[in-house]
Amino acid sequence: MDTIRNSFNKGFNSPRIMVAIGIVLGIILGLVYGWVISPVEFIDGSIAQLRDDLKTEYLRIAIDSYAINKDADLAEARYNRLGEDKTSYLLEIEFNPAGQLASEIDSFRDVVELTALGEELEETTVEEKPSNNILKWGLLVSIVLAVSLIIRYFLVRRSESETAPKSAPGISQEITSKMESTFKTKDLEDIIEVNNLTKYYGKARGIVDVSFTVKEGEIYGFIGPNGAGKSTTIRLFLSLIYPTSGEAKIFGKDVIKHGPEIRQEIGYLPSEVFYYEGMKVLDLLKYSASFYNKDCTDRIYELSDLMELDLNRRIDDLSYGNKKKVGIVQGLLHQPKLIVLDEPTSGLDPLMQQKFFNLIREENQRGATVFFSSHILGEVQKLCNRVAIIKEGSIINIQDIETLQKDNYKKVRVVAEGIDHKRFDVDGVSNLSSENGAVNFFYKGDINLITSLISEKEVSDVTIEAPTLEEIFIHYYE
Amino acid sequence: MNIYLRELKANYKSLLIYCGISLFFLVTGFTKFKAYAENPDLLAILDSMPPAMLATFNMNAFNLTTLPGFFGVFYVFLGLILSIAAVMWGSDIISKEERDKTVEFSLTLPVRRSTLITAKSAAALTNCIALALVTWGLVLANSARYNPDAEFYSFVSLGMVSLFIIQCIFLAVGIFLGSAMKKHKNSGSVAVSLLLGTYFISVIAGLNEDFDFLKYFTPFKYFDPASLLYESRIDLPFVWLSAGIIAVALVGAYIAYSKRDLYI
Repeated sequence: MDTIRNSFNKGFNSPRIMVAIGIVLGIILGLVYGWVISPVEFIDGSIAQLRDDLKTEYLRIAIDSYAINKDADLAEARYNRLGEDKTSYLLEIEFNPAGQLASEIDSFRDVVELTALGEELEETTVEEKPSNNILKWGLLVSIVLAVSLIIRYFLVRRSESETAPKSAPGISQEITSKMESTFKTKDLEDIIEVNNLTKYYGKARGIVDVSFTVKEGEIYGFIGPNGAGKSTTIRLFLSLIYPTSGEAKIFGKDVIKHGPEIRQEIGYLPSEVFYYEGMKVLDLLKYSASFYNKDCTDRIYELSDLMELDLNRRIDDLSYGNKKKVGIVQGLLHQPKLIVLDEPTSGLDPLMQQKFFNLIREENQRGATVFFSSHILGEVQKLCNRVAIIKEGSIINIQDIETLQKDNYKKVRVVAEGIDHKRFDVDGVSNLSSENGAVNFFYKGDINLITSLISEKEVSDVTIEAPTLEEIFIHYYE
Repeated sequence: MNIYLRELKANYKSLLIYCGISLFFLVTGFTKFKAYAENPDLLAILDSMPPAMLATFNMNAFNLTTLPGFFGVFYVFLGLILSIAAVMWGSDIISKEERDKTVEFSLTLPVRRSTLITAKSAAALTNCIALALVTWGLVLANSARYNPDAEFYSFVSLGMVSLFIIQCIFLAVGIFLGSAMKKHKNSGSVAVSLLLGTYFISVIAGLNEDFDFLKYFTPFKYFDPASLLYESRIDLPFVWLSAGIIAVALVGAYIAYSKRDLYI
């Protein structure tokens, strides 16, 4: 069954198969036209013709018999014998007094002559009919062809845009899997599992070959500048868009196949919230709650109390920040197992941000996993356990926040008189610079090595500190 | 069910507006008919008009001074109103989610895309049925004072049923365009231009017998009001053709919408 479905799905992506389907459909349509519609039309036409012929024949016989016998009764009898089809002409014969019959007969003759003339005309037009049919069929075929060509054109364009260039998958995969393996906490369940996920929008890059896992109970930071692919990744999770290649699993289930089932347990707060205008906040929240298999009414009131949200206002009257609050309540009202936040704090004042973070922490302690995408490093630092850094569509680092700050780079500043900064140019040192007798650099490696290097000289001041996430971030992006 | 009810609520204003248009149209139409009714002078005027023009407005088959004849001429205009409403509702009801960016809300809820289409199509269909029924009622109410006979009533019933079928075709086509087109902003205008295009095809098809084969390409020609009046029957092959178009459009909508990326 699955193989059938797969080949079926593949079919929609292959222009050749679609053209074949188009042609087959065209032929079927043509046959339907030829066998169903035309014969009906044809039979209708022939029956009408037959009826007319018969009518004329009856009339001719009736008139002839009157002309020979001068007997209206006989004429009528003969007519009756010949057919059931009583026409108005017959009725006229029946009820007209004999004196008027002669003039009637004249008009009948006219009718008969006219019919004969008509038949003659039809005979001549019969010869033209085939050409008419050819025209008809030709037009039909060309329309079918045109339609299939148009379909083909669009499909080819789509498939072209979808087979956009791919980067070498091996290297980055290796890096990420290495990074993953060092931080794998084995006993916890994978909530999000992303394998070589790639998305191209036509030829534009979305994300390339992204792989990572998020464990149960984590608050997972996802940082990167605008346009790095954060929202693309999240939209792939929610199957708003479909991956070009690779797969994403949430709760161990494929996001495309089990989308609705997975979304029962996901709370999503988009970076910008858009809701149906003209609805009251409470109605919208109740509408949203109606999709989940549990009663969320209490939670709605609880959360909106906490976020100081007025439930009786209309969505379109709300400010940006207040809409965001609606988004927070809407995203959390069903107590989801996974909370996906896409730049959640924009539009919220610092006080609200604090409340929001506390709320997220509470949810996390309750057992919810949080996927937190942001470009504001301070809040990621405050909240997250682990962080993935994404740059131009690819993950460049995944680490614990603490490790990122402790084990990564040390910011070293050495103040000494007549110090030559070149003596610090050893392995693991970067961003080396000196100003006013002070040497600044980043160091990564064995800390004893650098302290011994410093202690060789007499120095007046030394600071070694963990860099802020900001500095690490900038370091990665330079 | 909740999507369906919400869509009905969101669309009732537009339903009222279209009912208003239909009411306005019928009231002004019947006011004119008051002047035409049993007025032989008008027939003379009509006879002097160019036949192409009469064919365009479907006037050659009907006697405008009688009630059935008047409805026969009106049939085309009612068809236009009803199908414009249907095609607008159909294309809008799906694509508006992307236009208003609410798709990031509605489809991140635990809903299948096909469920969304089903519920929304049902809501649009409900609107179409309501508009058709209101129009039907208005026609009967407006014509009641002319003491129509049973033949007229059966003609109106057939006419409204056939108009409803045309409406369903355009609804399905609209839904298909709304769900399949990547440029959702254009779906409304494409839908309406398709409708007007088929209307003009129907006009051309009526002008000359050589263009008769065009009638398969325009729903407006599927049901001829003249044969509805004189033969009291709906052409069964065209009912099948309509059902086929509706089925293809809806299946296309489901497949396209379930397979494509949503743009926000």
